[in-house]
Amino acid sequence: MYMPETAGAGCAFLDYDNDGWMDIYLVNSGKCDFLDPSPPLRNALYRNNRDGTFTDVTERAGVSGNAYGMGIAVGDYDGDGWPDLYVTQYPRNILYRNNRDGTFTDVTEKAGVAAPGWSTSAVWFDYNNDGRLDLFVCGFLDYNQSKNLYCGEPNLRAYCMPNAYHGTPNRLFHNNGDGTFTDVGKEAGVALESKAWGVVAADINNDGWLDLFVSNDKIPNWLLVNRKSKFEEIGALAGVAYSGMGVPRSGMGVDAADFDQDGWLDLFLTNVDHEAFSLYRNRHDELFDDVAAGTGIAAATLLLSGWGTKFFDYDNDGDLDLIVCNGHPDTVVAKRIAGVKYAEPMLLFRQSGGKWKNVSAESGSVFAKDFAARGLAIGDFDNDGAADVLVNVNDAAPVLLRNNAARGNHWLGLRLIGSKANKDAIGAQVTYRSGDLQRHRTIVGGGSYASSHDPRLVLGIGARTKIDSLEVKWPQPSGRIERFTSLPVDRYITIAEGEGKWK
Amino acid sequence: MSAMKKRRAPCSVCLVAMIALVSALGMTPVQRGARSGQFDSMQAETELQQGIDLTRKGDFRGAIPHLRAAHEQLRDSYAAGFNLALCYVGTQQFSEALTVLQDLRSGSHDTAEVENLLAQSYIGLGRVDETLAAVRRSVELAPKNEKLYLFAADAAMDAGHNDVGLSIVELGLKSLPNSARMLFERAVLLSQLDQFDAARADFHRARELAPGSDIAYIAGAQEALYAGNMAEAAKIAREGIEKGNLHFLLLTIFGEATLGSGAAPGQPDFADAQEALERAVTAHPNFAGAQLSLGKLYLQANRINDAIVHLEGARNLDRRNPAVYANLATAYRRAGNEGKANEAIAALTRLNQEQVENIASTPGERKAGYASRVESKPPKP
Repeated sequence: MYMPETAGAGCAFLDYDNDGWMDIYLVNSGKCDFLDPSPPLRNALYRNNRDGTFTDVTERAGVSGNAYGMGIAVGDYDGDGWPDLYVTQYPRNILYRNNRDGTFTDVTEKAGVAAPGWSTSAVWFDYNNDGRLDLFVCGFLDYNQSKNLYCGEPNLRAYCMPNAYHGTPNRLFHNNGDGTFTDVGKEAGVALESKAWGVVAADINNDGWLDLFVSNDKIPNWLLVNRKSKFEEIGALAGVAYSGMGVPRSGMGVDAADFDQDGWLDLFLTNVDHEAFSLYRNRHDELFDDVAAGTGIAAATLLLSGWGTKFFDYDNDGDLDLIVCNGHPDTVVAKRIAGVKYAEPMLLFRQSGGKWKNVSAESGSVFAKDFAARGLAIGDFDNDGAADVLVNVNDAAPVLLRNNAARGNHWLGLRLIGSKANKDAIGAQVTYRSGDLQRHRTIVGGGSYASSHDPRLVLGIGARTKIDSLEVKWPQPSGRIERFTSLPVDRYITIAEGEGKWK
Repeated sequence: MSAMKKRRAPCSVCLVAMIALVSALGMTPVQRGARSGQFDSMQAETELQQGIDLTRKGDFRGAIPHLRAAHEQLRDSYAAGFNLALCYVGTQQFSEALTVLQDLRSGSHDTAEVENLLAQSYIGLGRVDETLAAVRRSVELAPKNEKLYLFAADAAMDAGHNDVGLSIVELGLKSLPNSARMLFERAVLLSQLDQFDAARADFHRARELAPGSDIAYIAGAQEALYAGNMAEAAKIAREGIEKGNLHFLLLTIFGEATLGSGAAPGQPDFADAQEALERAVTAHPNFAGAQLSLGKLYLQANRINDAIVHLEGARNLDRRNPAVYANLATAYRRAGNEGKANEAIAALTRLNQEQVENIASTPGERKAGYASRVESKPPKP
């Protein structure tokens, strides 16, 4: 029993060939010091055939991975308009640069981003507001086969909890703009010894600098607030580091979004069984309240272990909802803890006017099934404006959920392309109005667990039939605000920074 | 042995376990002159009486100087010695308690109560073998005295020796197999040891043995908490309170479960939770769990200064409870006192670091797995 086996892998929606259709990337286990599978295992890139089917193009694309895969972060780090892939692995990560012809090149060595050790999630974001995407990589355990421990009882071995091992530092790779990166983790204050599973990059204090919320397993979570390129860790002061009991939990998946539409980004955190998940409402002063109990989310998740998660408006009514995939880390848990299973169902919570409802039971038979789910990505693979869900599962086939719930509601899909701001517009804030409905949306970096999402925003307007106005506030160093009217609905448009028009 | 001592991280469903730590607080002070000889001076008698009065009110710290003064002048007074030891145990000054109690034993005051306080002192010092020996002597003297088992078991739980507490309660259940309180205590201990199925069965049996009692309602609320149903726990606790069961634990569970159900300031449920917790604190000011819960409620209500008063009260009563520091940090941060907030976080970090070090020092096969959850149990004595 080796610890990386508990983790399982992430997944992504990405448009690697820029044809306007979301493709899929699935991370898989692979050869490492404790595993030499025969036949060999590999990651997979599936091209979207635009008809509801996909074609495996991994071999041609050259993105199969070369170790025990963990996660993926997609970002256009070189600003050429084509998405690049950063694949986290045990014990060494890979950066695949997109060659713009359906193939990729492993540029890890030249870029200097191998990050030896065990990494989990990673996120592309512009930490120093220079307009280029930098890379934050979650460090997990100081681990190799020779350090593997026996845990559990003499007659029933169990996977260890991470507190049996030392952690490893996170890394922050500064994008030098020439295809290379410099690890500035120590100088920036993020190289804390971590046991990190998840990360989301989001401006939690509205100061124009992207912060990081990092979930840790059995040590306090970090809230790394960006003070002009230097980070201050304020998790405990902010109220997001510990449970209400004052103990660190097994933080896993994370996300950020302004679910209550007060203009400030809130946070979500998944944990393991008997810890409950947390919904942190932003108090506007770098303090958060855990409101999960009052929403029913805490009760619904008390016996579950959550991994991938994302806020998204699944029914396009304009209110952000929430999805979580679950699965206990240990295969033998059912023998030890009553009411807890290895494979667990997914949960879907619908939000309306600040009230949350668990709508899993009425959202399709798939929500009654159990999975050892890990990574979760959101993306509209059939371009119908209804955000779909991709889930990677341990020792089983992935799950692709087509969203039928948004039918009948109207929407506008939005692709933002930065020029002075970072190309992927991470940190951009969008405000739209449709009749009596006004909503804010923010493009955050990463979120979920070890996964990457459709870069497009889908703006739901319910039964309304037109969008009266749309405002885009581009992230720093731009800060430019652009306003648009006379917009279409029920289709995707692209807005490039500074062009003053949509396509 | 002491390196193996753990205070287990409280799980979110173990509300009763978290707040049931009353140990010596429940023991009745011995009346002045009950077994003492004649007083040599009026001053000593006055000091003793003041000490007993304060002990009755639960003000152990305040009582100690008086009782110490009386004890110095009246070395053979059982009342002075016993009450002083009781206050030492109540304030976790176990070494001091031990000295006094050993004097009492050697001075022909070897009562079941003295042995019981000895057991509580030993467990507070992590001396497991001597604890169990003292418990055995205590129950030989008074095998049907339910409280003696409960006090010792509570003390063991408070010291993080849940399996020692379990041994004590199981000893008690041999003499008193139909004791609802003892079954309730065992359920609390089993839940601390993550044996939830067995705990649930004991809670259920306790409810059957004492229907309509405070224990029945507390146990019922706890069963609901196991199912993750805060609203049901609050409902059961409310029913018990409305039927006149005003046990401070029931009031505290009601307050906590109501807040956990999402009651927000301005709502009737929130006001009910506030009233219940205020009553619990008034009834039992030395119960850290109620102080903590009331502090959290005031924090939610934005009554920051009131919150700090009760959270500081909880800290004084239970200095090793991480929840106290987590909430104190938030309260001080919201009061704008970042220095105090950082102090609270430093204390919280220290407590959690101790836990990390304990786990690191645990032998291989005792290290916790994701599926075992018990963060290392002391070996069976």
